[in-house]
Amino acid sequence: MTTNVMKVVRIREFSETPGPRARDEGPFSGEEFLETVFRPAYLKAREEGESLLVDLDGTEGYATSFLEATFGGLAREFEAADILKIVSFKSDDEPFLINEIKGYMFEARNAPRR
Amino acid sequence: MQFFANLEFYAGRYNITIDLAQVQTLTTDAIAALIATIQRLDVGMKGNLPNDADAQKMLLESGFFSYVSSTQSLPSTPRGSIEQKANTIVAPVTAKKLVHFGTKGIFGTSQRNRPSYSTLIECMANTKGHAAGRNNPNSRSPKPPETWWATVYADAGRKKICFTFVDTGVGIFRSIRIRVVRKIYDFFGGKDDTDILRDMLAGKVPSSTTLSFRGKGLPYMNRLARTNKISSLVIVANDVYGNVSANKFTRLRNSFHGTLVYWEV
Repeated sequence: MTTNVMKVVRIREFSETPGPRARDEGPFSGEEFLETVFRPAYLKAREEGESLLVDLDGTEGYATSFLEATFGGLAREFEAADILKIVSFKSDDEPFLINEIKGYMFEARNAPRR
Repeated sequence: MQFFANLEFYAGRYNITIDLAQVQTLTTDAIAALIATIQRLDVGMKGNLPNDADAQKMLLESGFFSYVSSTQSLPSTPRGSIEQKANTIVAPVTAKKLVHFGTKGIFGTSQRNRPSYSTLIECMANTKGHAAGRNNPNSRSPKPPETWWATVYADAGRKKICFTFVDTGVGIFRSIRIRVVRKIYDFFGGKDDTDILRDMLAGKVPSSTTLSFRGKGLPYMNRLARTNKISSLVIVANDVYGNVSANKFTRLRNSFHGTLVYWEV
């Protein structure tokens, strides 16, 4: 159950130039974003009964591996359906990304990490 | 491709001078592939300028003579419309610089182009993850990382931004586990590498194969081409030439040592 409080995670505040999947591939990776920003924000929102909006706008763009590592990565730890009760997305720049991300989350359970 | 095959054959046997005098048309993808190949062969080479004025300007602006010794004195030419970068890791800030260089050259102001940025990152990640091939289990030292070369050319005449990404690694069809995939394809009727590339673009080759560009990168680039967010998407890898935008895939008589991706916006 979430309250009416909505926290916002803006990926552009992590980096305007999101990078690859893993830290060892290069800077601003999905793995780094998941560990330092997204997972802590998700856990806090879940604990405090808040909802979380992920704002995808304002970056240079995304590689699929960054998105999969971030959102698929969280869905390998928690049920995608449970995550989506708390997390929602905003993407005016590329609206199709939202469905892509949800697809990665539901595929994540059965997919290998790398 | 025959030229690259000859270059490879003669490199190390002879001192090579690349005679470009009679070349009338040069494109940035050809120059990028040539530079990457020369760097991979790691032998000093000499070269001259094309007589054709446009081809000469293109070669000078490309920075070709930073890698090849000139046999003649060179006019000073600003690298106004071509920018080239190289690295061994995924370099997001470099990708941004390349995109903004191209957009500034065509639109007059530096702008985002998300499809091109995303495609550059996908390509860099592929090189980082797969191009160097598998480490030899009997060797103590790991294989050195593969270098990629990315070039952007602001073609003012056609009002197009042309991107070329090249690595001279193992190529999509020589990467890890391809033999397993090929066995599966052989079992289902002897499909060749062009069929494998088509299926990778369609997202039909599962990520569990650990293939180069496996999983979502190539299907994403394919969708960008299908929705005209990028145009003229061409992928050359090993013995396959794939004009993705035109949906034409052919086998090459002479394999390209590595992977080349070209697109325009």
